Amino acid sequence: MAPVSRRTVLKGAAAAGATVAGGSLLAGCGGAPNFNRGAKKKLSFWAFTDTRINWQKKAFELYKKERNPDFEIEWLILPYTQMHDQLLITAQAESGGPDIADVEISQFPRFIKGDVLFVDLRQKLEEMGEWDNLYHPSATDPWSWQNKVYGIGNELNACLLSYRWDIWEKAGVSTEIESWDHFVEEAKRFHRDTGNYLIDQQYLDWGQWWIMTLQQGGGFFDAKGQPTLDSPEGVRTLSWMQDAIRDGWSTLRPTGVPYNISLEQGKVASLLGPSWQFSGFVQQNIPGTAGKWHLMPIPRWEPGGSRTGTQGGTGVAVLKTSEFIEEAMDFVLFEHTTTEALLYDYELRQVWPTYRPAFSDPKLTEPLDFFDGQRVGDLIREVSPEINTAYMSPFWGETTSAFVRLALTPAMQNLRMSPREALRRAQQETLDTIEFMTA
Amino acid sequence: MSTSTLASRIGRPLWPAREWWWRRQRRIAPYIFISPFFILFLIFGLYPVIYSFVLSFTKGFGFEERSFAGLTNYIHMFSDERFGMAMRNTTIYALGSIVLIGGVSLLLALAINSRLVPWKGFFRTAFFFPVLTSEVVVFVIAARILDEQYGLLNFALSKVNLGPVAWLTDPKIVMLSIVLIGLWTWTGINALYWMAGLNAIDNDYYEAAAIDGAGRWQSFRYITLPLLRPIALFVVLQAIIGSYNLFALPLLLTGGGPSDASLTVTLYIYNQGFQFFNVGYASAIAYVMTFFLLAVSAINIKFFGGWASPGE
Repeated sequence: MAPVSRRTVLKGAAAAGATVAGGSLLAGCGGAPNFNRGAKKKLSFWAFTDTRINWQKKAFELYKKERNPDFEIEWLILPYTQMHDQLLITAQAESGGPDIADVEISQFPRFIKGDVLFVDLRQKLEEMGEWDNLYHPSATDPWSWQNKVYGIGNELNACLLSYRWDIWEKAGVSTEIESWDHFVEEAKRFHRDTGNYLIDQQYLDWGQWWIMTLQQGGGFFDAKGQPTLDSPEGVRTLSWMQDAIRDGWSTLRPTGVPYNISLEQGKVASLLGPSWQFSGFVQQNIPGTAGKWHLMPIPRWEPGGSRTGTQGGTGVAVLKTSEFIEEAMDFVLFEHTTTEALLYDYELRQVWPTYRPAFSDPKLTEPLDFFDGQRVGDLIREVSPEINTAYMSPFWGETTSAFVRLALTPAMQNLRMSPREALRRAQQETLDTIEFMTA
Repeated sequence: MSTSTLASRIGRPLWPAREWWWRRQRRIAPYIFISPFFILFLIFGLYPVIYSFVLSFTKGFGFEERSFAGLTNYIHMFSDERFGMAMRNTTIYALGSIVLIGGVSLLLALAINSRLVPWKGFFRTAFFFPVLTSEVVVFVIAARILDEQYGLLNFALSKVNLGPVAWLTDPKIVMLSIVLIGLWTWTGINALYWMAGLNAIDNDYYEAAAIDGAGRWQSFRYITLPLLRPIALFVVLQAIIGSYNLFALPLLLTGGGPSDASLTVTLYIYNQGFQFFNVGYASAIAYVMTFFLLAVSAINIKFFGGWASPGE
């Protein structure tokens, strides 16, 4: 009898888990399992949200019409954590996993620890002649490691400053803000006159610090994947955020529903973020503010500096364990480099694509009611080339966690704490953790 | 001979295998009936337990390409500030559970058990309800009540010129908030345990004490409390084990923050094992906690003089 190896057991467990998950989902749908129905190949696609699946289903219909492939796709939606965990386990067990999967940006680093579990898409993208057609900071950088591209995203997450124009106008705040210094002047006056805040400070999550640091060319990692928390850019951003609270013209961001209430009531009159923030969360959570928002480029740190950044996103990856790697890659790259397919996601979720040629379609730059008729697409296209490169590392989770725990939150709650010292401590813990894990 | 008897009974010759089965089925059948549980337990219970023990001596990412690391993971725990913080927070919760929840639930049980309180069934059910509530629902309710700006609790405090208190975002306060939520959730069921103990005490003891001139306090001090000792042990052990398994509530409510102020040991194990994929270290922490809980439980059993009631 062949010995039972750890891998064999893991495979069995993974396959059982996937079967249970798939089975329960199918049972939930009330339909019969759809496997092995015909001679065609069946590729499996795992995702964690139906909204992203919807546009990809439509893209696949287009793909079938144009390419007439000899395969179908089986779509499976699992809860966010469960999907990523099972993807990881099945990929390591080399059994029971999908051929293609949606991978959220903060989950991606887990898949590049040790052996990378995804297929490199770069060569094929270059062969297709599409490499230079992508906005890389959102399309490929978040899923890249050591010059290889393990995923591709369609969401152009160029960050902008969204502001309540009705409140700004009433308070006489200038909309011609070019620099952060100018913004601070306006914010101080706004607070003095109204008692409200032009912007708040995110102190329990790294989003705001990240955007403002990336604007300056900084970030969590350098090109080699080494942590750079205590870089001059990082220290400058955290000092700026701390000063905003110390000087009294800004406030710490409330969590959960109270944050939405603050935006709705105008107690906080602007926010930084990409389209999933201003087109997604804001429109879903405070629909009553429709028509009261405008967007503008983020103020610069210095003349000629970047007026945007990128934050978040979900990429599509092809698993190395797939039996149909070529087929999977062909579809994934098709849907990310075909204007018609990408427009589906714009129509469904108001997501601007990372594929530059798509912007020639007038639909993407049409005036939007929620933003008082502003042509948001034009603004996104204008600032997107200014997004600085953000680097990834397998230790993203450890680094961002140390940053929030040891630098951001304590420095914003204790204004006597030196931002440089707080960031230095976070940097040191990250280095120690990496050393412990890799020694 | 039994074979011929069996063959003659069924009227035809038997294959050796069937014959073997016919002769032993009565003895084997019960084991077959209970085997599904043991097979599942071996695969999904015992195997992970043993495998995680092996993992705790290894290093590497995930489950692949692991290398033997000896006691490195266990040694690292002693210099790991986050682990220390998680232990501290969990111990605060455990102490809060034992003292606050244990104490309040005993008072509640005494009150409900009192002859002066009507509608005992209603109160028992009402206080038990939070236990039936999903932790997600508890989180949603708690988040609304404890919110700094719009929360019900701060609104009430503002009426007496107190607050606002950052219940969930002040590192000094957040564990107290979680203990208070625990108090709301677990007091009812603990009160039921105490009530079961109170109802088991024979009334003759109290009557005898009354004849001897004992007052209410003396009866409580010298009859009720000693006879509740097995229940007290159960409540304390439950509180300790439950506290060191605290996971969902801090995960949902604070994510272990701010700055690890509500990080619990189980949350840290999850964080290391599933978020950072540092499964060797996560396994080592899990084993240390297992032995820690065994030791604490043993000390408690010794302290309370075992499970038996006094005089047994």
